[in-house]
Amino acid sequence: MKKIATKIEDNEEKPLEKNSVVLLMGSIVGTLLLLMPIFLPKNFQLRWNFHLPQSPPPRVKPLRPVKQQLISRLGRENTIGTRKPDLRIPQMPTEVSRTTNNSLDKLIGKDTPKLGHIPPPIPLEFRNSTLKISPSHRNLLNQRSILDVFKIMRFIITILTVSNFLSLVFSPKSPIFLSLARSSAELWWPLHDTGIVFFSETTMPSSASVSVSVSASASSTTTTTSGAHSDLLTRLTSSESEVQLKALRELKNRIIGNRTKKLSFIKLGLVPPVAAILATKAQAQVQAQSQAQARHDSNLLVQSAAALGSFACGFDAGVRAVLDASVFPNLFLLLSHPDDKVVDAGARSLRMIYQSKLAPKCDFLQEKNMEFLLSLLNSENENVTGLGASIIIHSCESTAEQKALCHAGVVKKLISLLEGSLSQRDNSLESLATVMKNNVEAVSEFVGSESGRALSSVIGLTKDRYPRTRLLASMCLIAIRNTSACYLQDIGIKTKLVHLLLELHDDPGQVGDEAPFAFSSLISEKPDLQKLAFEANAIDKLYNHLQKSQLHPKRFLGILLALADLCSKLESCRSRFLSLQALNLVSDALTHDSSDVRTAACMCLRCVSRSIKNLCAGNFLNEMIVPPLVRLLDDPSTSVQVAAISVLGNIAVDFTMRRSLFVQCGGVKQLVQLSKSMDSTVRLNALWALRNLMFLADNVCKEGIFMEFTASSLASVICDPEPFVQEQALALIRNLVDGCIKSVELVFTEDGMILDAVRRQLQNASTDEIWIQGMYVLSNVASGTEFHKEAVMHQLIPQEDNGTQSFILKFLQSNESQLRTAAVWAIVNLTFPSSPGSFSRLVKLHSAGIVSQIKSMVNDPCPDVKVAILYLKFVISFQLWLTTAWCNTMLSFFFLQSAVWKLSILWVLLTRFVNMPYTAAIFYFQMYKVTSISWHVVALMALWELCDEVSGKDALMLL
Amino acid sequence: MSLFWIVVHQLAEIEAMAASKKVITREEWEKKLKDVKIKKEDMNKLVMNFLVTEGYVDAAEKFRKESGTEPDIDLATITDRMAVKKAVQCGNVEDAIEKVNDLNPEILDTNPQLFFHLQQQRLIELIRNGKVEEALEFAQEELAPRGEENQSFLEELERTVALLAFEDVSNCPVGELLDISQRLKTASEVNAAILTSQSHEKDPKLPSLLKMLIWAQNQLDEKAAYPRINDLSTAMLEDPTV
Repeated sequence: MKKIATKIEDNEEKPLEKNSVVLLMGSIVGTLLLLMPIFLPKNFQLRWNFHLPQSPPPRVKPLRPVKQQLISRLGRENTIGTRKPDLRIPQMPTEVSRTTNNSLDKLIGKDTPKLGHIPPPIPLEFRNSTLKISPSHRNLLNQRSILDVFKIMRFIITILTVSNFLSLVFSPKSPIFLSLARSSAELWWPLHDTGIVFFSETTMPSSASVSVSVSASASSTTTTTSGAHSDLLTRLTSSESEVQLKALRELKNRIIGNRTKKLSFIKLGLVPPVAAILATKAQAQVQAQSQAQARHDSNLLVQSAAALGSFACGFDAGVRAVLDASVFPNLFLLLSHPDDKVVDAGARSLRMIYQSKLAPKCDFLQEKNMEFLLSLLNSENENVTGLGASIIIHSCESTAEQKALCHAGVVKKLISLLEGSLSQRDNSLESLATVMKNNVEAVSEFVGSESGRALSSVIGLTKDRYPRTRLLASMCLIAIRNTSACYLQDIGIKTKLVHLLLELHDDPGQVGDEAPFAFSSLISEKPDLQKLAFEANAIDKLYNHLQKSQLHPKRFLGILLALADLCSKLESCRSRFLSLQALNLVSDALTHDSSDVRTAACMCLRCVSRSIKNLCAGNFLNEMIVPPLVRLLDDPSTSVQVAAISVLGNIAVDFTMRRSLFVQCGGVKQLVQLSKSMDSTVRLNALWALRNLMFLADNVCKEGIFMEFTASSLASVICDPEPFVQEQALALIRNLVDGCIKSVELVFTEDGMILDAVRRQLQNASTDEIWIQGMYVLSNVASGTEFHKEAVMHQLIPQEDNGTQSFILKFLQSNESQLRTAAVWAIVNLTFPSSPGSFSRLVKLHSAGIVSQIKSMVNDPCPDVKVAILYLKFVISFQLWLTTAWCNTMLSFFFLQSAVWKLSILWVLLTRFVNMPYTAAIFYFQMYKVTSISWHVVALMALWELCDEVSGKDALMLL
Repeated sequence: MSLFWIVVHQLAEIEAMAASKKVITREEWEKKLKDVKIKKEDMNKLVMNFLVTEGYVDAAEKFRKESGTEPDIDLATITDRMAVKKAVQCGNVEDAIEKVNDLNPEILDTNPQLFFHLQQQRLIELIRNGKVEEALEFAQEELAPRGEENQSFLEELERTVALLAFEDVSNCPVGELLDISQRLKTASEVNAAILTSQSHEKDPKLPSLLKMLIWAQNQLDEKAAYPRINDLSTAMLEDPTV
């Protein structure tokens, strides 16, 4: 019994205890509240107004999934944020998605937020379009949601103190907030594709470095032998043709195979007299005299043509000299000469010239030229058909030309030449590859001809005894494969090609030099083939070749490009590459004599540095790589500059914050200089690199870059004539203003000219990409202080009402989902409830028709937009509802308690609601309705004070 | 029980059969050989191919007349090719180079290695004839620039010039360069290059057929004992040793 009694006693005592606890809590809360304004720094209070009922629900609930995804992508601990910049989803540009960089995707991925994970948002509906708040407004709300909200309310009120303390923990300065909302750092995608295509062309002029060394040695030899040479010159111009013939023969035998002699003879001016002999004899051939004379003449023709051909063989200076002597039409005359030897010599010389890029193009679209070409291909003479093939290889570039050749039956003719002699077969394979490259029509004609026999014969030629034929056959197959995805897809032929080309790398001669280029064209952009190549130990094999000393520049170039292609997509290749220490060899190549090799080394580094794992480990930002790269920024060749900038851009996305090394090397200064370059590609890449450097950078780094750049030149690059430069400039600003308030303030220097420039671009530019970046700039700025928000507001909705629609409305209606997302987030940041002016901004947005636009976007197909819209709807409704609902709660609390309580609550209202006049006004209004006369006076006085802050129009609407 | 023993015995027999090679007697083998039909023309073509590739012009001409087999290459070009080959073999390299250039100027222009080897041979001949001054000048003017272009050429050039340093060249470490075999090596290289430029196989088919025969016999040795050809010059079938 006693036990029961005690139990009853306990039960009876409990309420008493509760009361005392409540009282105790109350006094603690009261004192804390009183002291709170003293504890908190003033500016902090202004910016981070923690009105408890307001902040947690909208901040945490609907947005958390997005944030959590971002956080999990970044692999950091989750903390709840207070500032809005972290809510924006970093954008993944299309270029990067092409790189299919898995790790990158994971990091800043393009996967859409999963709607299924979103906790059901409280379905408040924004029905009251005039924003009028009435008690009946609550009735419109879904009952369940009201209950939910009330639960939250009660919870919030009891943890008032805790929350205030938490506000310190959830300081906006905590690094996670800085890391979340930024324009994505895009790892490079080759805009420099053209470079790769250029290098993989089959005809490759002798590299510049070689000719330089040749000229150096040539000058030394000319001095010793010029005596004999000038003698040659007089003999060549002699009137006696016997003397001429002997001189020609001597000249020819001296220059064949001897580059040095060719160069020195060209300098001595021996080409024009030879060309003159050819011209006179070629044009005089019609009136042939006696047989002996005719034989003598044709001998002269053969010798002069051979000499000219040899001058043109293998190096561009010779081709230029020969072309300058205008021998071209005369050599063509030789092709119709009755003597076979003359025809041979003419065709050979022309072929030599056509192997150079300098040779004039033949326009196949002219019927006359096409007929001539067909006559060449139909010739019995092997050299002449070879010439025809060379002309095709040299001149056929556009699709129109390829089609014209197809229609003229060239493909059929070339297929029949596959059966011919060795050289005809090789020529035919090469021409076929040229005609079929990127031309679906030609490929289907080839594959379909003779029910696939042509194709199978080419496949058969990949097993040929001669390495050159094997190489050309595989190049032909690669052209077919790359053009039409439907042919040659089985794994057998793919593996065969990969193994064949890797094996051809071992050839010591020309074939080995060209094999890496063919290999590159096989694997570039094709992860499946890259995987096969990786499995065939391609990285190791290429690395072994790279290790050889005295590598021919062309082969060096090809191997570097092949490595670049291998590492462009697959992380496994990159890690194998790095584990072999191949980075040392490639960074040595950065100082190679040949500019092409330097460019290729940069491309290789760029592809390897796409590896997020190694970027995170800071494997690239070291003394071995960065200083030579920064030196390359001064390179005389623009292509090297661009390639070096692009590597730096990738490396700049360094997560270990080791950017100081880069700054020490003077890299920033150089990049800023280059971003003002005359060349738009250089500008673009420099800005891109700076943008990536800005990504996740600390404030010191950002300020450093900003000071180097200056606001005025930033404003001028935003208004660059090239749209793609504008886009990068805006993205740079976007990364600049992301993060802490200090960096946002940077754009307000010099009267906010940067922001004005952004607005101009948003109004005048015409591409989605620029708009997206520009909108994100505004969105990021809007995440700043009240002043920043107002500035953005000012840009969004012009003060003077000249009838023009605000551009943000246009963006909200855009078809581009990314643009819609950016625009919606800007509005989210502007109306974020914790800031005092958000309600008035909401009203302005409403009158600009933006709120109604947002309401109509509830069913947006893009999940990113939908999440933001749902949130925004919630905020808009909640902000209106909150003011009434929360006031009522407070009021009910107000009546239950003693005068001390009333005073403390009033104190809270007076101190904390200073920045929220609307909420305060509603509260006082409600108070006025219910309480006694003495309180009426207080409420009226408070309302009167508020009238200063609430404009007449808004107050009216409120009431 | 007896049944079990029978089975075991049979198994042992089968095993023994598998271990010992199958024996083909001479009669069986010859009967099989007779069944293989080879066209006379094909045999003739094989012979002609050998004559043409190796450059026996007169023999080829006679063989053409006798057997009516048409060579797959113009016999006149063989004459030119042989003239070049002969010139190199006689040490008259300058003449050989001129002849090659008359034949097809592309050969030496597009084949730097061959061109270097010919020039090297020319230097060797100059050294052989004791024309030291001339040799040095030639090496400087013609060969040094090639060495600059290619590292391996430079090494070979150094080896060649080393000949000048020795009194008794025949016994020096690089003496083999002066050997007649070096001439033959260069000559066959030129021969192969000319053949390739004429879209012709650079090796005759007959030697590769013989190589194939030896390979096939080695493969067959593992499986059977048969009348084997051991002496390729006589092509006699030798009875299998059992």
